[in-house]
Amino acid sequence: MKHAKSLETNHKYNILMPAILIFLVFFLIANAYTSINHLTVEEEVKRFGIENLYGFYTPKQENALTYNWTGNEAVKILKIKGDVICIPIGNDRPEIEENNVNLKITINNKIKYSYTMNSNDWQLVLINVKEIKDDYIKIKFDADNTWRPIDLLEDSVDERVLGIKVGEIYWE
Amino acid sequence: MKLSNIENTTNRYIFRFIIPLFILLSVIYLILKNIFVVHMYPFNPIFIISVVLIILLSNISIFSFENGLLILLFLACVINSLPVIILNIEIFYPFILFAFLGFVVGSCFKTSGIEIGSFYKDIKFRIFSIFVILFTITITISVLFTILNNFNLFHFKNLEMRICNINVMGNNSLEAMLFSLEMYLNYIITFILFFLLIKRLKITRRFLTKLFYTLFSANIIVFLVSLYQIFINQGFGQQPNWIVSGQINSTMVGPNSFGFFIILNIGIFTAYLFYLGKKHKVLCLLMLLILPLQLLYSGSRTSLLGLAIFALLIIFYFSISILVNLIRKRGKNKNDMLMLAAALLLLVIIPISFSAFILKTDTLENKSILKPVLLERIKGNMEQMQEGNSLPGVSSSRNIVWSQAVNMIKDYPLVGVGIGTFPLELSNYCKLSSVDLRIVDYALNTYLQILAENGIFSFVFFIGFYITLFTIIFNNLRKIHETKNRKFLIIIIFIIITCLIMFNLVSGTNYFEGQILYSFLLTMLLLLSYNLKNNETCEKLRNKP
Repeated sequence: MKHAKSLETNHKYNILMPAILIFLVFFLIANAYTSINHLTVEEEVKRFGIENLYGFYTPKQENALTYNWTGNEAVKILKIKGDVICIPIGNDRPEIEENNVNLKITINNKIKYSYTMNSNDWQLVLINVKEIKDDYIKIKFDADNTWRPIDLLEDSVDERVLGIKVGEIYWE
Repeated sequence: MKLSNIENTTNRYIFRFIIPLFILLSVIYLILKNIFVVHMYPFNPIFIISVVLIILLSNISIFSFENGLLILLFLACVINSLPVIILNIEIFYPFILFAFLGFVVGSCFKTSGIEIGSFYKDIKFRIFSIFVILFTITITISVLFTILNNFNLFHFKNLEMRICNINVMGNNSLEAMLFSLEMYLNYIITFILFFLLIKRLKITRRFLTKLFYTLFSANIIVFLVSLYQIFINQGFGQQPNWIVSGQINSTMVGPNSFGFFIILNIGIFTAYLFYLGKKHKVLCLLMLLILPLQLLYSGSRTSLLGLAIFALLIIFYFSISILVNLIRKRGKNKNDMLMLAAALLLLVIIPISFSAFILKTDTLENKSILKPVLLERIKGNMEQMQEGNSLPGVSSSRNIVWSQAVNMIKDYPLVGVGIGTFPLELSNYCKLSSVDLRIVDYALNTYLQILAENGIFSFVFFIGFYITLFTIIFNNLRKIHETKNRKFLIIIIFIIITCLIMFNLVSGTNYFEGQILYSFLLTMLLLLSYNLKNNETCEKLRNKP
């Protein structure tokens, strides 16, 4: 009698185990689906309006202008609010006249824009994005000739690898 | 995997998968924390102490598991503010996690040969094991996906894996990974400790006496540090933000974890008051006198609530017990009367009269530090309530944080936003709801946090874990008749129930030290219930003619 009861109990739980396995497969799929479709950083950036995606250092203030240094590569995602995007760019690299910094700006992997920085003055880059049909644009900055203040400036302890300065972007 | 094989499955799962994973992730966490948070090159005392702790605890637990465990518990009480004392920096660095890592590494050396108890014969324990397996699997899957999400690895278009900004406050993928790892390790500690103790620890009266002395000596150190902070230097081992609030943390990470530690210890020493001999009773009474007073200076309101709940449970239980004895005309139970008097006096009358005395006296006017900050906070909250529109201040923004947790649950009910991600997503959701709250904080409600971070399934398994645990314990308790044993267990059950109620207002056990002590208490409760039940059953069988 006891043996029969034990067999019955075991039978009950032999069904339970495949159920657990099916659940785990379902849970894995649910996680993968949510990760790919909803919880990617890019989706979150768009949803919550997070300022930068990656490659930017913390914001700095220069007179009335707020800007971020980039590394050799940086990406921002922005909601399209006009036809022309206006990007203030600058640099502080010592002897930039001899060591020009080549900047490549790519928008949504479609529009490509190149610019050679040969002075440390602020410049305004205007790019027409009328042809982009999405609600958001992804702007990627690639800078060569990066530098570290600790290597080129006396008394500096700053070990960051710096590309260019990007000011507050606006639309026209 | 069959239920009849659950013992082998659980052992293989815990000892061949979860423990190696824990060791690997703890080492990764140790390295990342030192590189990206501590920032000290080339000589880093914090890293050296961590490594020394790992080596020390692993060696001790290789030779003696029991001593390793007692040293771990002692360290869990005393070393948590050490990083601030050594470096005076504002970071969270869990030394005790690395001590636990050493303990786990050392304990794993002899796990195969020894098996104590016959837990798996109990069908309820098998179901309990299934809940443990399911909960740990869901959080393991969650931590893996969360880390990949926060590094943007699911951006399949060009497989860019970068350190991205993941919230409106500028926190990045690396910080998110450390949060996820911390939360995962914090959960997993409970289950590792559980199965290690099941395999290796035999709870005897000798062990319980050793444990008493370990906790008593640790509490003396904690009390001395408290006194030092109250009378001499409040900033000793204290994060700057807590110095401003006037709360003390003694040897813990923060005042709230100190409050949680006090509640656990009040429970432990109340239980010991019943269990050990006269000499120990005096020491227990001494502890029960100083612990509630320290609570007043920790300033933790949730812990005060915990103390009130625990005192009520004790008073209610012993009053009923005395009443039942009187009705059944068994005569007065001297121990119950003593217990009731002690609970009333130490947990209620003395703390309230001390507070009333401090509030009324003028002699401390110039020494604000001597005034218990908890009273000041409660007084402040009452004033705020009278002024109206005071909910965020009184609730420490819980009303805002909880509604954001509910929003997260609505968005991702099945899988949550990712383990350890709640603190970072909070500011995002506040922005979305146009709420002006830019903080990195936990949900201040354990159940909401599990739902928001890990989804409904993990929550169900978490609840299932506790339901089966209590079913086992109450089932065993029915077969334990010796008053001393029974009441020792009941008091520990009361403190666990108190903690479970407190979890409605705090996020878990407040860091690793609380988690280790709480998990130990939980495991001890289960082991002891089996042990005492089996002992009494054996004795009954032996006495049968």
